[in-house]
Amino acid sequence: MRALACLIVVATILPGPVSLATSARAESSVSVRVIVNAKNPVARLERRFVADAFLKKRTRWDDDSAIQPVDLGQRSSERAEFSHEVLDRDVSSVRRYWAQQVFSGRGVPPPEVSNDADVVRWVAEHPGGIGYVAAGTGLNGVKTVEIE
Amino acid sequence: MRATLKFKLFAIVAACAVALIALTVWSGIAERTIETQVNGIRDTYLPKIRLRPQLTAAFDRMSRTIQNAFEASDADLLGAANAEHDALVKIVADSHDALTMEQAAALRFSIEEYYASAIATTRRLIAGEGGEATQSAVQDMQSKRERIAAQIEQATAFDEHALTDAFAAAKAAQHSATLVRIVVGSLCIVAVLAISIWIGTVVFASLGALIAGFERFGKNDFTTPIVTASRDELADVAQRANQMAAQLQRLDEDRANTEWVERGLAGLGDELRGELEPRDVARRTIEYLARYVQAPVGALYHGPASGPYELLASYALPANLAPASFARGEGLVGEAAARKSLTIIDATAGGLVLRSGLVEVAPRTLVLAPISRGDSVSGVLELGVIRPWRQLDTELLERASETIAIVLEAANTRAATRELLDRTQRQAHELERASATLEQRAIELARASAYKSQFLASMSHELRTPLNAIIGFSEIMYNGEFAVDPELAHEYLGDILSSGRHLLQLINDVLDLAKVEAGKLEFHPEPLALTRVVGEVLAVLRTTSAKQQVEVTTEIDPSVEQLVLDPGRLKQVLYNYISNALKFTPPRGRVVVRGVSSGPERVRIEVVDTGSGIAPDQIGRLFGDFQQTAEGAKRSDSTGLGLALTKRVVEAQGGEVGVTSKVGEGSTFFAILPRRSGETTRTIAASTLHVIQSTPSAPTILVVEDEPADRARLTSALADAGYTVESVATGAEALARCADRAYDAITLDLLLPDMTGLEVLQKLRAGKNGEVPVIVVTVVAERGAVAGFHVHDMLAKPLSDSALLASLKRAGVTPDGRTIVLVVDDDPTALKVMAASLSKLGYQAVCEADPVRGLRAATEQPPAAIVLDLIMPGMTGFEFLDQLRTTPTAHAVPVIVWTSKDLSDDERARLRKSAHAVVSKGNEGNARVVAELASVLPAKRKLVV
Repeated sequence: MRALACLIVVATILPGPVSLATSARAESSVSVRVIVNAKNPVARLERRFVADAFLKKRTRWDDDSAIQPVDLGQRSSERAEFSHEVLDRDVSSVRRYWAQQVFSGRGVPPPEVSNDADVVRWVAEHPGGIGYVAAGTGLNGVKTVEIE
Repeated sequence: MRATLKFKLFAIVAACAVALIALTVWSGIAERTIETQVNGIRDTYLPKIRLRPQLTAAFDRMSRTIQNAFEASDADLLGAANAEHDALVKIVADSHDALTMEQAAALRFSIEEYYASAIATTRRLIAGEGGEATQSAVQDMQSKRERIAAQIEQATAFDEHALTDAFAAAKAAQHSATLVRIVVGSLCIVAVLAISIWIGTVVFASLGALIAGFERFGKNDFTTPIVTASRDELADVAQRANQMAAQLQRLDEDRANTEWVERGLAGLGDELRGELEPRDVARRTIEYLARYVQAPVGALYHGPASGPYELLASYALPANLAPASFARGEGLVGEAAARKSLTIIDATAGGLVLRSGLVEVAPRTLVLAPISRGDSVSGVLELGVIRPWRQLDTELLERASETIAIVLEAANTRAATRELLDRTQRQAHELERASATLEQRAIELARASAYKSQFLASMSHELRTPLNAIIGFSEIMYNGEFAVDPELAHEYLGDILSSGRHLLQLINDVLDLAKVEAGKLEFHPEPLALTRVVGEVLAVLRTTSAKQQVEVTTEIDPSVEQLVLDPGRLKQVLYNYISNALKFTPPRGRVVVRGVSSGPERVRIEVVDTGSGIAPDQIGRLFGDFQQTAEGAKRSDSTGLGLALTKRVVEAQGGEVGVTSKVGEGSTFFAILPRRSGETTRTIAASTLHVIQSTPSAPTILVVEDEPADRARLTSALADAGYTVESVATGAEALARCADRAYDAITLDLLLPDMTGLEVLQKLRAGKNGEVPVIVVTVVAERGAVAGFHVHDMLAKPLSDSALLASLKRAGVTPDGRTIVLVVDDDPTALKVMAASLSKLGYQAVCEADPVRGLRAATEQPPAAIVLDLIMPGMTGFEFLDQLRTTPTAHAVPVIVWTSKDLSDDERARLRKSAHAVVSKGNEGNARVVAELASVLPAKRKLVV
């Protein structure tokens, strides 16, 4: 598992900076931004990669560091938007996915934080962290990655 | 112990029941074992099988509830999980049948752990916690969850092999149970079958024996009793049947015995059926009974109740062994009859031995059975038997006794009846024969009648021929139409004479024939010497033979010299044959008269000539009436009746005639006559004298004539002519009369029963009547017969009265007065003519014009004849005749009807009965009347002239 996480991290790092803004989708309607730890070299990420990271199907960045995703509370609009745009499913569906994962012992969902600031802080505090916030939120210690 | 049928059936049923029970019990046990095994399997594995899904489901529901709470991120929902947890726990607690205590406790513990961990982890997750801790909590939870699953798996798992083995064991148990069942069942069936077959065989054997036995009994075979194979009820039945059969056998024997007797009696009855002679009855009886009781020898004696008993019939009785009769009480037979009961005697010592062709047997027992009806013994039946005598045989004989007696009695009666009947039948036969004779006679009469007609036709022709010559020549001479020189006249007279003689011969022959036909030809056989008779005939024919230059010789066998025959008839035959022979034999021919024997009783007389012979086709006609050969017919002196007469005369004496001839060589006529025919003498009446007195002055004529008819005729003719007539029938009487007185004339028949006429003549000449004229009257038409005797005249029979009277007149013996003829006619001219004619002929004619007066005159003084007219006033000729024929005095007066009336057939027939002739006035004239009168009256003057 750990090895896998590392792989994911490495993979994330190796392609270089990926801007989320280049993502056509993001460009058009995304009002949330994917953020990673500032020290994270990755600048651009594939949407797929982001979705797998949040569903813990990919646990390592390209540099083999662990991907540490963080979610907003379930009732937050950003989360709904993120689920819809990136995970390509609604929140309850994601929740059902996680219930299966949890009660089959395969994993637990990313921890949830109550607001964007906490997300930023949490990402900043975790080197492999990745989260999403509404645009305009202060990105202290984090950076936005372009989703393509 | 008796194996009764009931017991056997019970044994079969019991065996079946035992087998069934054994089978059932065994089956029950086997079932039980198998069931236990199956239950064990069920109890062991079923809860586990059932529990696993329960547990899994309950556990999943609990997890799901927690999961739902996580999904819904609602911690409150975890309360529902608690209920699920309780349910799961309860399931575990309730699953003590499937789980061991340890397993249950471990599972419970794991569940509790998992539940606590899951609740806690879920709460944390709902709280949004993530991270390592949570992660490990989840893993921990997951591990706990897996442990539960493993525990459930482990607790509810079971060994498939074990299960398979268990089932295999159960199945094997079932198989073995089935096998045992089949074996036990088969054994039971075999045992039951064996028992059944054994019992069945025994029972059916007995039944078979019974059926066979009953069949035998049914066929009246009671000799073999029924023996059954078993000692059961069937044996009882057999025993009863055997008893019954024995009873039946006794009855059957009784019946057979009775039947034997009855059959014997019936057979005897059959044997004696029909109308048998007593001897046949006895023979059939003894033969039948001897056969029936198998007696080799038997005899039947029969007789009246008082004896003696005669041997009537016997069976296989050695000849000369049995006496022909026994008196009552005599010998064993007589004794048996007297005792009237059956006697049985041991005959072994008797010594009677019967021989067949092969062996000798001696009867052992002698049985004497009286034949009796009631108390009357009519015979004794004797039988000798070899086999033992039985009571049955006695019964048969005793019962047969009465039958035999009755049949014998009936046969005796019948024999008597039959004899009577036979006599009656014989009489009937005689009557029948008589009737047949009568019939034959009637036929002969009819034939005779037909013959007579033909005869009359022939005769009229034959008579007319010589008459023609007589009348023709007489007329020529009488009329004197031309001068007759004496020589020619002599020749004519010669012709007339020969014709007259021929006619006379003809008439004589005809009258003889008529006599033969009428059966009036009489024969007066007397001893004679044939040589003499032939000599007499030859003497008569000597002239002829001399004229013919024929030599006549006689050859008479001495053995036939002495005969007893009617000499007159014999001469007639000889005369006919010899004169015929002479006629047809040319000069220097020969005629032989031969008399030879034709058997001891008969004589054969032959006349052999060397004449022209007779053609074969004419021989058959020779002996017929008026049948002549062509040559004979040419001759005037042949009547054609001679041979016919000869034939009749010979046949009337029981002889026969015949002829053999060869043309050119000659003929042989023969007559075979009995050497002695009929009676040799005739009974001579004591007196035959009969006198008819005429006027006292009338001359007396003695008529000597034996033939009554001729005598009566002569007598009446003479009496009518006015003579006194005495008549006698025998020569002796005639001589006696002649010795008494002298007669004026005598008519003498040459053939008299006691002596010849010539003898009479000779003797009477010596007495008072030495010179009296004697007129010989005879059938022997031989002038020469009286040669040398003094006779006035000779007349041939049958005699015409006129010839006799004429002869008397010639002798100058005439009665007084004239014959009165009454003429009754209303026509005076007719009276005058007739009176003239009659007086010219010498009759005294009394004329009467009134028939009534004429009738009175005829009655008062009967005339000799009456000439009667038919058509007269006051009374017709028919009435006259009718009345005349009823008068006592004149009923026999001849009447000549002289009439001009055309007569019908009826009238002719009437007149034929009562009148002598019918003459038509005018046509035939008085001459015919006179001729008729001449035929009924003696002529007077004319004949005298």
